Amino acid sequence: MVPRLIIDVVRRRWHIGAFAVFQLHIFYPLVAKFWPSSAGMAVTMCGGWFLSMASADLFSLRVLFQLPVSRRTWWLARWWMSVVAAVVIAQLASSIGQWREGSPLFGVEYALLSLIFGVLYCGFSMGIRTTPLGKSGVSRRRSRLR
Amino acid sequence: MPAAIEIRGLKKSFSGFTLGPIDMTVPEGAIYGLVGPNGAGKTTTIDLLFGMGAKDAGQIRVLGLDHLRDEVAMKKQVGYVSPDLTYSPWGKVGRVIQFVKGFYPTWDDAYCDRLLRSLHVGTGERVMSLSFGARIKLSLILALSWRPKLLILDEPTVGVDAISKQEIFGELLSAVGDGDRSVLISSHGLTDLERFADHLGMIKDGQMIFEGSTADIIARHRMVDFVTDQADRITHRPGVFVQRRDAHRWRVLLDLERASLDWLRGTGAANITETPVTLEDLFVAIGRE
Repeated sequence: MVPRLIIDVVRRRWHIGAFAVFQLHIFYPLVAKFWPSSAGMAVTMCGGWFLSMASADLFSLRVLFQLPVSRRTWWLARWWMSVVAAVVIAQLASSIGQWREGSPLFGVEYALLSLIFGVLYCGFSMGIRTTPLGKSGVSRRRSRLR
Repeated sequence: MPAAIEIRGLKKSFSGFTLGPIDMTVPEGAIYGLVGPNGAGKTTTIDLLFGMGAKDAGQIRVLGLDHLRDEVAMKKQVGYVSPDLTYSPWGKVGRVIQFVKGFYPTWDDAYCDRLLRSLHVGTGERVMSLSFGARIKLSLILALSWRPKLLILDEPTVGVDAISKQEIFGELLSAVGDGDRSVLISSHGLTDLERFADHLGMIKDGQMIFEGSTADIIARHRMVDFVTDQADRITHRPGVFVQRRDAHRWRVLLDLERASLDWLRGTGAANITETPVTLEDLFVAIGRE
């Protein structure tokens, strides 16, 4: 069920991910001007964090809570999208930025290191945010005609 | 009779509101109407049943399953309809159906198509462009198409026109016509509930005021007009809900199990006339108290 939930979100929101890559890769040269050696990691971690926060609500739809999916499955799907996918998108943007700028840090090793730090950073904050599942999981109801 | 939903001692506190402890029993095969004023705790009860929010105390069993420990098995048998369900992120109706269908092995495509036709919802339509009534219909189609054993409807007819309401109830009744399925409807459409619900529960200020078969509840209450000057004896009696008072002339709703007509005569009340109550009379009288 986790892949099903993730595929559904990717299908619905792939264009936002693509736009985020575009935006963040433009942002890279600006950061590199001030911190040439750590710009890649900074873009990955900061970009990943913002994307992580923005994507957390993708799974807060009430519709998803009626489906025969356990809270653990729901939490895992949310974690993969809001942590791993968010950091991968930011890293992709960062790597494109490095490649375009001709940075000597462009490469697999640096990208992997950034990814690990990004996942730890975003994973920790997302973990805190989503642990009290029942309390923060569902967006509050809007008032209706009653 | 085994219970489709069995709630015992359910309690949940928010700032400024406490639900329960409430007990509630929806018998298997029943159409159960859950009524109550705004903010009484109806939707909170349903939310807790689905594990949306943590209860402070109590037990909830649905179709014999614990609602948290066996949540997946439970949700495989429980359909949910509510105006709060937002399907617009999926874009078109067809995409919503494709997504939801994947979670239910018992999904019946032919039945889904029939429902789409009879409720006039097109698969190519954008969810955002659907009317309020059509969105409720979509929610109903998605809940009925896999033939759940228990259907929970939270305010399914709020803001829906009379024709759509008729269509929704028509499909609902034909779906539960075999008598094996149970339905819990939380609604303000009291006339609809009076016609369809065979069991009722009324929640007020987070407490279950009464629960039982609709016929028994209606038969147990009377609207009574009389004349008396014994105000203290009337107002302090449990089971008496004062509706109107002009000098010595009174109009009260009597719960005959707690305050009988003989008791009323014993207080010296004169010119007593009684009339049967409707569900709306009951709702207004108890809600106002």
